[in-house]
Order: sequence, then C-alpha cells, then structure tokens
Amino acid sequence: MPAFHPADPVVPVGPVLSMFDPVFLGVDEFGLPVYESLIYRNLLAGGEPGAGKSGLLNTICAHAALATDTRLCLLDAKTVELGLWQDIADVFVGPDLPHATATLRRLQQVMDNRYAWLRAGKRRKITRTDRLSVIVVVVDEIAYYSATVGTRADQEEFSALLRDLVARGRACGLIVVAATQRPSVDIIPTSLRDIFGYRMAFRCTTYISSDIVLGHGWAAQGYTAHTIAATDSSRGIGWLIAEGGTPRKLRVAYLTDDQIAYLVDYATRIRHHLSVPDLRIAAAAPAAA
Amino acid sequence: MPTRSMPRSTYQGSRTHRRFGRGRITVIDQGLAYASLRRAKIGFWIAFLLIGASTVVGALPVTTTGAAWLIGLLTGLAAGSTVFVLAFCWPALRLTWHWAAELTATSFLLWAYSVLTTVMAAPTALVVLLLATGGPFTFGPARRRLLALGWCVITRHRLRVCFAEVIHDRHTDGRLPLILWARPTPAGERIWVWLRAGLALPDLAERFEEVAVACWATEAHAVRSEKWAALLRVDLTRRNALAAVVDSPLTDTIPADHPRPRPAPPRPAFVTGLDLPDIPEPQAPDLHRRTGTPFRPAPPRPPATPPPPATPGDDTADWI
Ligand SMILES: Nc1ncnc2c1ncn2[C@@H]1O[C@H](COP(=O)(O)OP(=O)(O)OP(=O)(O)O)[C@@H](O)[C@H]1O
Ligand SMILES: [Mg+2]
Repeated sequence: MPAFHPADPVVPVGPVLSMFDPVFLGVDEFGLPVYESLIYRNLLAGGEPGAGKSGLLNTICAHAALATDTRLCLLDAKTVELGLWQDIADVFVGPDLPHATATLRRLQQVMDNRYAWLRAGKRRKITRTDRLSVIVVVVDEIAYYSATVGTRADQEEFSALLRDLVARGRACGLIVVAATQRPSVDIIPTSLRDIFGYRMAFRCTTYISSDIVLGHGWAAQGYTAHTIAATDSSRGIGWLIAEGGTPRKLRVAYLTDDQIAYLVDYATRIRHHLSVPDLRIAAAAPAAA
Repeated sequence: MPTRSMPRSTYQGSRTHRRFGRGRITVIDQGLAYASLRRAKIGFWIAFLLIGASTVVGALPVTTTGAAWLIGLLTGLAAGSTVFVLAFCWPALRLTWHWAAELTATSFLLWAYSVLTTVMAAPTALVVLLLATGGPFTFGPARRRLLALGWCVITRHRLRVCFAEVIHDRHTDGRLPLILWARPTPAGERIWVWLRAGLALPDLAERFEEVAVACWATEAHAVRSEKWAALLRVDLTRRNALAAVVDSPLTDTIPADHPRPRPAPPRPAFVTGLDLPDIPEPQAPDLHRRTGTPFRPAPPRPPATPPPPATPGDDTADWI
C-alpha cells in the first residue's frame, strides 16, 4: 500500500520527469544506455512466455509513474504483471473484456475531445507546454482480450478500438504500449499490428515469429530473436526497432517488486500534489495555448 | 592518386611498409610520394588560378590595373603554395594522425623528463617518471581506464590492417579509410571511420568476422551515419555487456529523505478454489459413452469464415 502524505509540508520537486523526455529502456550490446522517446509513438512487444515482455512494460510504467504529466491506463489480463502500479493508475483493467472495451471507448472520447480542442486552437498536436496529460495505455497479453474471451464481435470491437487509439492517438498525447507472445493474424489483426511504429522482439522459438514482431525481412538480415539463448541470464534481451529504424539488441532494465513498491510510494507522493487540478484548469483554457 | 598508368595503390604502399622481415622499412613509399606530388601540383595550379583570378576581379574596381594584377598574383601564389604543401604532406599528415596517440604520449614523456632533469639528476628523474607512469596501474579503476584506452590505440591500428586486406582482396584501387578516433565502451571499443572512394559499408558487411579476428575481439558491427555514407561507426565487443541484470536509474532519482515503504501486510484475500480438486468437473455433455452408446467423432464442420485471400504483405504464412 502506498503511503499517503496529505500533510506533507514539503512537496518534493526533485527530478520531475515528463513523458516528453526519453525513457530509459536498458543497455545495448555495447554496454551503453538506451533512451527512447515514446511520445508520439506506440510500441509493440512480442516474445515467448517468460522472455521479458512484462519487464519492459514495467520499466515504461516506472517512467510514466514518475512523470507528473502522465496518466496511466493499465490493461493486464494476468493482473499481477502491472498490478503493482494499480494504486497510481487512473484505470486498471483485469481479465474483464467489457471493462477493457468500455475503457478504450472512454479513451476514444478523450481523444476526440482533444482533437476538437486542438482544432479550436488551430494546432495539430499537443506539446510539452500544453499542460495536457499524456495518457499511457499499457496492454499486457492483448491476446486475452482480442482472441480468448468473449464473442467474436466483442473481440473485434476491442481490436477496432485499440487500432483507433494507435492510429489516431499519437498527436493528442496518447501512447499505446502493448505486449503479446506472438502477434500473428489469429491474435490481432495485421492492420493493428502493422501500425505500431516501435517494435521489440524478445526471444522467440522461430525466426518466423521474430519476423512477425519486428516486421517482415529482418530475420534474413540477421536480426532475429530466435538466436537469443533460452537461459536465465538472457531474459530481457531483445531486438528493438525504434528511432533510427535498424534493430538494436538490448537488455531491458528490470525492476524488482521492492523497487516498484518504492517507486509507487514516491510517485503517489509527487502525483498527489502536482498533477490533477492543474491539468483540469489547463484543459479548460485552450485560448491560452 | 593511383591511376591505370600508375597502378601502385596506397594499399600496396602500406603492404611494403609492413614487410619488416625482408629488411625494408619504408615510411612513405615511392609510388605514394609520386602520387602526392602530382596531386599537389594539380592543387597548386587550381588554387593559384581560382584565388588569383577572383582577387584580380575583386581588386580592379579599387586600385589601378597593374596593382590589381600584382595583388592577384601574390594571393594566388600564397593560396597555391598552401594547397601544395598540404596535398604533398597529406600522407605524412595521415600517418601522424594514425600514430597521434603514441606521438602525444611519447612527446609528453620526453617533455616531462626534460623538465624533471632541470631539478634533479637524470637517474632520479627516470625513476620518478617510471613511478608516475606505473602508479595508476596499481589502482583498479585507473588501471581499467588506461587499459581500455590502450585497447583503443591498438584497435585503430588493427582496423587499418583489416581494411587493407579488404581492399587487397577486391583488387581495386580503393584507398585506405581514415580511422578517425576510438573510445572505450563498456563492452569494447567504438571507432569512427571515414571511408574514401572505392569502399562502402556493403563491401565490409560480410567481413566483420574477419574484422573481429584481426582486432582480437568477440564480435564486430558497423553502421553508417544517417547523413554520410562514408562515415561508419564500428563497434567491437570483447565482453558480454548483456550478461548482468540492468538496474533502472529511476530508483536513484528518488530523494534520499523519502522513506522506504514498510513491507505492506498482505491484503485479506477471500479467494477460494486454489487447487484443481476445488473446481468441480463440468457436466460432460456426452455421457452416452458411459451409457454404452458407441462414440462417434463429430463430422468436420466447414470453417466459419473463409481464409483471407493471399495478398502480398498479408502474413498468410502465419497460419501455417
Ligand atoms: N530485463 C530483465 N532482466 C532480468 N531478468 C528479467 C528481465 N525481464 C524478465 N526477467 C525475468 O524473467 C521472468 C519473466 O519475465 P516476464 O514476466 O517479463 O516475461 P513475459 O515475457 O512477460 O512472459 P509472459 O508471456 O509469460 O507474460 C521475470 O520474472 C524475471 O525473473
Ligand atoms: Mg508477461
């Protein structure tokens, strides 16, 4: 349970992060840190069970949690992978397809309103100075919502809504980060998979699976995740396609449960003071932008 | 510049240069010197004419015709000679750059020695210098840093040998790339290379195993700069940088006065059915097996939706 500090005399103004800042993801094969800017981007991660996908999502959540301009919207069919962030998330959806669909529909509405707001200000995308929150939508195990439970129509509705968020959410500060083991057509529509700009392939069992995550043809050029060893010491290693376009091998940073608890505790403290009221006011005054 | 009439490439020059065993140590070989003389002459005339002519044109409105021509001649000569000297000395300049680290270190040591000898006897100065040089090697972090820098120096030379082999094997008159600088990375070294006409990244792509061998490394990779095809970043790995669990720096950004959360007591959970026998078996629909009716498999049903048409780009292969 995060501690609340309602009577805190001092608001910690330490290093306040923003989702507009590059996110620390891990270390590349040359031992150098990898920072990627996720704003105006979407990320899809794939890889066999236990490869480290949820580790990546947690690392991104950690940055989002400490970014006071950010709201977290978590969909986690396993509930435990992102469950530690539940207390600072605006929405936490477990294995519940109707709840997931309803949440995506809410986000769609926010997106439409933001575009209306931007249009009123004769602008095309939100920037750091807008004081509008960035909404990070993290979906772990998309397959559960898009191919496992519910009727075909429900699953298709979920996929269609998610596709809309990925397709249109970019400019209004909506970032979708999703993970599933093998994003093939029977799990998510190709039209949804192919619009994720950033990809990360953790260990796969075949090079075809690796290509499904990274995009066709990378395996032939030697960028394939099936060569990553299946040992404990290579968990969290994968190929990332981000800025630059060529896959980079990296090992994602890993947060222990204690570290996450500490981060959540601190994030609760800084978020409690900073985020909510300001954002409402800023959003009400588009002319000021 | 090596041409068809003068087929001696810089590569062969450097080859001769490497054959110490045969008792021939050539710093800059004959062909190379001839090529740079030719280049220097061309450079001189081009600079002389261009700079001279533009100076004359620029000076005509402000001085007399004679003075303008004189100024033009002098400026042209000055520009031409500068270009001549630079072009003629280019092989030497390149060599200096190639050995820059060694040259700097040696000159620094000599300078330090000469300064020391002004205040103490020569043997004492030598001992002091030896201690000052060897001292950092006894201290772990300093030693690691120095060794990493040492590898950078070695790698620059080894990489040049590699490029020479590649050019040799292609039987072209490509010129050796300029090895710009190297810096240590946690896994090895990162070297910047400026390729010159006759060689491109695809020529090297299949030979990185050889580069790794030549540099005594585990692996070698190269990427070109987005802007210039000639600028390459070569990464050599000697250690596995991905073996250890990577820590997130975010926990360190939390101010030290923020208390660590006490381990929270587990929330009371009223979850039952945590084991398989706790979940009742569903009523099997075909109990007729037990009642003696023979079991028949269901007839195959037609697929609910027709398979998607095989369009290029659609991953129908995934269905396999
Ligand atoms: N970056 C990492 N560094 C070190 N260990 C890691 C890393 N990522 C994951 N692990 C280890 O691997 C285990 C499984 O990782 P994770 O839960 O992220 O896998 P996953 O890909 O999400 O699997 P699943 O598909 O089953 O959800 C973790 O419990 C952790 O011990
Ligand atoms: Mg997971």
